[in-house]
Amino acid sequence: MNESELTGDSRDSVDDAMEEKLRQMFADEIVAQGARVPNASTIRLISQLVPQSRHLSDPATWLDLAETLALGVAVALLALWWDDATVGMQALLPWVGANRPWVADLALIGAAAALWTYCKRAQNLTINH
Amino acid sequence: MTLPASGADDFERFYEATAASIRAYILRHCWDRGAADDLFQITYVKFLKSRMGGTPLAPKARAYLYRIASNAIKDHGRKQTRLRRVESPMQDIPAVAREPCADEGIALRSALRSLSKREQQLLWILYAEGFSHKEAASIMGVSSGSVRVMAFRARKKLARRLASMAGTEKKARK
Repeated sequence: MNESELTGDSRDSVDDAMEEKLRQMFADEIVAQGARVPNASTIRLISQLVPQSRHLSDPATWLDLAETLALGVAVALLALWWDDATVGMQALLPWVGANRPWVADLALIGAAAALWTYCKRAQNLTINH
Repeated sequence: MTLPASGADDFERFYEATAASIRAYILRHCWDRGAADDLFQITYVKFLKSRMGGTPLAPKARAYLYRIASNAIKDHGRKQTRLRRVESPMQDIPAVAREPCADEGIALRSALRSLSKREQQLLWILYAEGFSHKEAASIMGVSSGSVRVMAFRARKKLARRLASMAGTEKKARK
């Protein structure tokens, strides 16, 4: 890559003429579209009908994120003491019995999946565009 | 978001100043007129719902609007790719986009089609809207330096393509 390519500064009369044609062509397209746009009031009305999406300046978004974080911490703690949690779940669900510990494992996996889904939902609410 | 009376006036002025160019931009870079109408609407609705929606006359509002439009076009493109409905990004430019130009314009239009979609978007942002390299960088989500290089390459590619088309035409006449 030469220096002019790096800086993008190299220009000549061909460039100028071509740019002028490009500008003219784009301007023509813009003029052609001028009559085809709806009224501003229509767009405003539509925006009022669309449910409010949230962005980072909305406190509700932060509450959602805090809730998600708390849930994440809880599941992380459970994961850290996975064995203990499994034993704990067996104690909570005595019908599982010592011969079926996989039910408790499944319950924890389910909790993790629920957290994942929840996080994705929170992310979709947060990202405005 | 319900704008107060003055905010509504501001939006109206902003809309009048930008709507035609945003629609032309979307129409040029997406696949069909129906989709362009939807993306146009989505762009302004998102703008109104965003933090910029309350201050449409802010200096950065126009670049922000273009960024939303660019993201909407990108999302639409991804969906279309997933649906495998699209074979070539520029295969179906609506006839209305071709109307205003004569022979010379047709050559330019055809040469423009040989550029990548990203390069075409950049040329629009720079030459139709006159955004600075810095603004173009924020709209396209790349660095200012990359914009300069991309613009340089796009210009050269376009010039080469136009020259080769002119050469082919001369040979055909002989």
